[in-house]
Amino acid sequence: MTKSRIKTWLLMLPGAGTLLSLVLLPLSLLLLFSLVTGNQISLSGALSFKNYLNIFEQGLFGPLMWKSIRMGLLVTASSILIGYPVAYGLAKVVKPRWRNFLVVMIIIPFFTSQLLLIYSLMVMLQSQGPVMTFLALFGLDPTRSILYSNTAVYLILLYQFLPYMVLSLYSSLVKIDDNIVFAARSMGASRIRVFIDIILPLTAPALFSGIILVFIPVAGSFVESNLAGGTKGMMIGSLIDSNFSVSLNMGRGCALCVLFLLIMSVLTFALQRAIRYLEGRRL
Amino acid sequence: MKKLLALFLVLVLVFPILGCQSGTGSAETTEVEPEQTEATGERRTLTVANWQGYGSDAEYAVKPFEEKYNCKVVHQYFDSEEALLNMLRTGGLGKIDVVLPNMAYVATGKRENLFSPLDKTKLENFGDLKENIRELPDVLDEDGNLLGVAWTWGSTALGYNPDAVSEPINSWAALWDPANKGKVAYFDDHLTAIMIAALYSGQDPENPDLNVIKDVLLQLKDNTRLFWSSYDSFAKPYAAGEITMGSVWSGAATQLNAEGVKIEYVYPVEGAVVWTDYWCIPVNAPNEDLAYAWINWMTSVEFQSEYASDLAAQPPIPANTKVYEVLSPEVRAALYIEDIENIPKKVAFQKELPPEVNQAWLDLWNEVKATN
Repeated sequence: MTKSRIKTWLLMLPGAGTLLSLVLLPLSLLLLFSLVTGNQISLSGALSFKNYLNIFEQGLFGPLMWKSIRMGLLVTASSILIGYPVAYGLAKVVKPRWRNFLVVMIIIPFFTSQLLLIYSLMVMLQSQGPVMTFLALFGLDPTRSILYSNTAVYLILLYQFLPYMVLSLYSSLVKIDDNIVFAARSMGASRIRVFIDIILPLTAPALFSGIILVFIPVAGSFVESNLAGGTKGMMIGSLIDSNFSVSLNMGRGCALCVLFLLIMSVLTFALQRAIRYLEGRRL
Repeated sequence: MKKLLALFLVLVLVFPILGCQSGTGSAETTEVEPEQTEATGERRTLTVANWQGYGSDAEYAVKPFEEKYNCKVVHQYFDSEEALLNMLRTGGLGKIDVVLPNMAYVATGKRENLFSPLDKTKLENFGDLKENIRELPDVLDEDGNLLGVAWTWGSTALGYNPDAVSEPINSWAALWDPANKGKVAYFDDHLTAIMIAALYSGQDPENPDLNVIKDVLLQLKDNTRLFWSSYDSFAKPYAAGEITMGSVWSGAATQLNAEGVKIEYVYPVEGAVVWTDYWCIPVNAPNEDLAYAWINWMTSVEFQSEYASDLAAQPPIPANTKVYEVLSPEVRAALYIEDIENIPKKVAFQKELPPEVNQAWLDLWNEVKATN
C-alpha cells in the first residue's frame, strides 16, 4: 500500500472503529445470542431458531407489537400537529429577544430524569390531584382518575417526547427565508398552499429526524406503561424487559429485540420514502 | 442579555452535577462512617450485601457492632434477588462476607455452590428461631448442613380499606367479587400472582394447573384497576382512594398504618403467601468469624426488637421467637403477629422454581397481562 493509502486507513480508524465496536458489534452479538436458548453465554451450546419458534407459538408478539406501533404513530402524529404551530410561533412570530429564553424553557425538562417527568405527570393526573379536583367542580368523581389507562400512557409519552419534535422543527423553520413566504403570498398563494408547497418540503428533513426521535423510543417504551398503564396498558417493551430482567431468559429477550428491530427498520424505511416524496414537492 | 442567559444556562447545568450523588446501579457501595475515625490498630472490614434500607444498614444496627468488634461495616446493595446472585457470581466470592437472599434464592445459590455450610454451634440464637422456617429443605444442602440462618419473614396477603366495604373481609374471593370492580390492585410478580390464584381456586400453590389459573387470572383482571410493583405504586393510589383493596406485603401495610393511612391486613382463609429471608455466608468469605458475629447480632433479641419496633421503616417479622414476648402489644398488632401460634393458619412458601417452570409461569403472567 502506498503511504497515503495507509494514512487514509489510519485516519478512518477512530470513526470506523467507534462505529464497529459500539454499533455493529453489539448488533451482531444480539443476533448471535438470539440463537442461544436460555441464559448461557457460552457458544458451545447448539445454535437454533428455537427462541423464534417459541415466540410465535406464544402469539403475544404480534398483538403487542401492533399496539406499540399504534401508540407510536398516535404520539408522533399528535406531536407533529402540536409541534408545527409551536415551532412556527417560536421561529417566526415570537420576538427574537424572547426566543432564546423560550427555547431554554423547552429544554429544561431534559435536565431531569425521564422518570421524574413521568411521576410529575402522574401526580398531576392522579385521583384527588390538581386535575381531578378541578374536574370535580363539574361533577366528576374525584377518586377515579384517567390514570392506569392507555390514555394516561399516551399523555405521558406525548409530554415526554413533544420537545424533541418542537426543537427539531424549530431548528429548520428558523432557517426559512421570510422572503420566500412573502413572495408566495404576494403571488396569491393561500396560507395552506404556502404550508404544503413551501414549508413542508423545506422542513421535511427536520420532520424526519423529529419523527425518528419520537416514534422509535415511544414504540419501545415500557416504563410509562408499567407505571401508569393499568391492567390493559402492556406494550412490547414490557415483554422484552420481563424476559431480560425477571426470568433472565437472554436468548428469548434477544430474539424479541431482533424482531422488534427488523419491524422498526422496515417502518423507518417506509417513512423515509414518504418524507423524500414530500421533500420533492418543492416548486 | 446574552451574558445573563449564558450565566443562567451554566448555573442550571452545574446544579444537577453538584447535586448528584454516586450514580445508581445494581450494586452500590456506601460506607457507614463510624464516629471514632482514629484506627486503634488494624481495623477489619465486614462486607455485608443486602437491600438498601432493610434494617442492617440502620445506625442502631451498625454502630453497636462496630464498637463491640472494632471493625468497619461496609454495605453493598442490590435491587433484585437476581442482582444479588450475579454479584456473587461475578467476583463477589472472596470479597463479600455475609449476604441476605430470599429462601427461593438460597436454593439457587445452593445449586451453584455459592454458600458455605454453617456451623450451628457458632450460631447463638439458632434455638430461638421460628421452628417452621429455620430448617426448611431449601436451606439445607445435600448432607443436611445448614446454609442460611432465618432472619425475617413476612407475608403477602389481603389488605383493604375497612371504610370502603360493608363488612370485614377474610377471603381472597373479595378480589374477584364484582362488587369491587375497578378498585382492586394486584401485585405484579408472576410467582405471587399465580400462587394466590392457586390458593383462591383451591389448587396446590406449588404445582397448579396453568390452564385453570389463566382463566382465574383473566377474571381477576376484569376487576383489577392496576398492577403494583413497588411500595409507592401501591401506596399512592391507595391513599388517593383509587383502589380499596389488593394483595399486599405485610410490611407495606405496617408502613401505611404507621403513616396514618388506614388499612386492614388479614390472612385469608385460603392461605397467605409467605416469604423468608436468610443470612448466608458466601464461600471464600474473607472474615468468616466476623460474619458469624454479625449473624448472631442480627438474630439477637436486642437488635430484632429494636428493628421490629421501628414501624415507619416497614420492618418484616423477626424470626427470633423470643422477640415476640419483648415487643409491646401495639407493635405486635402492627406487625400482624398478635396471635402468633394460630396465624397465619395456611401458608404457601415462596420457593424456588426450576427455570422451565419459572419461564412457563412468567409466560402465563405475560399472556394474562397482554390480553385485552
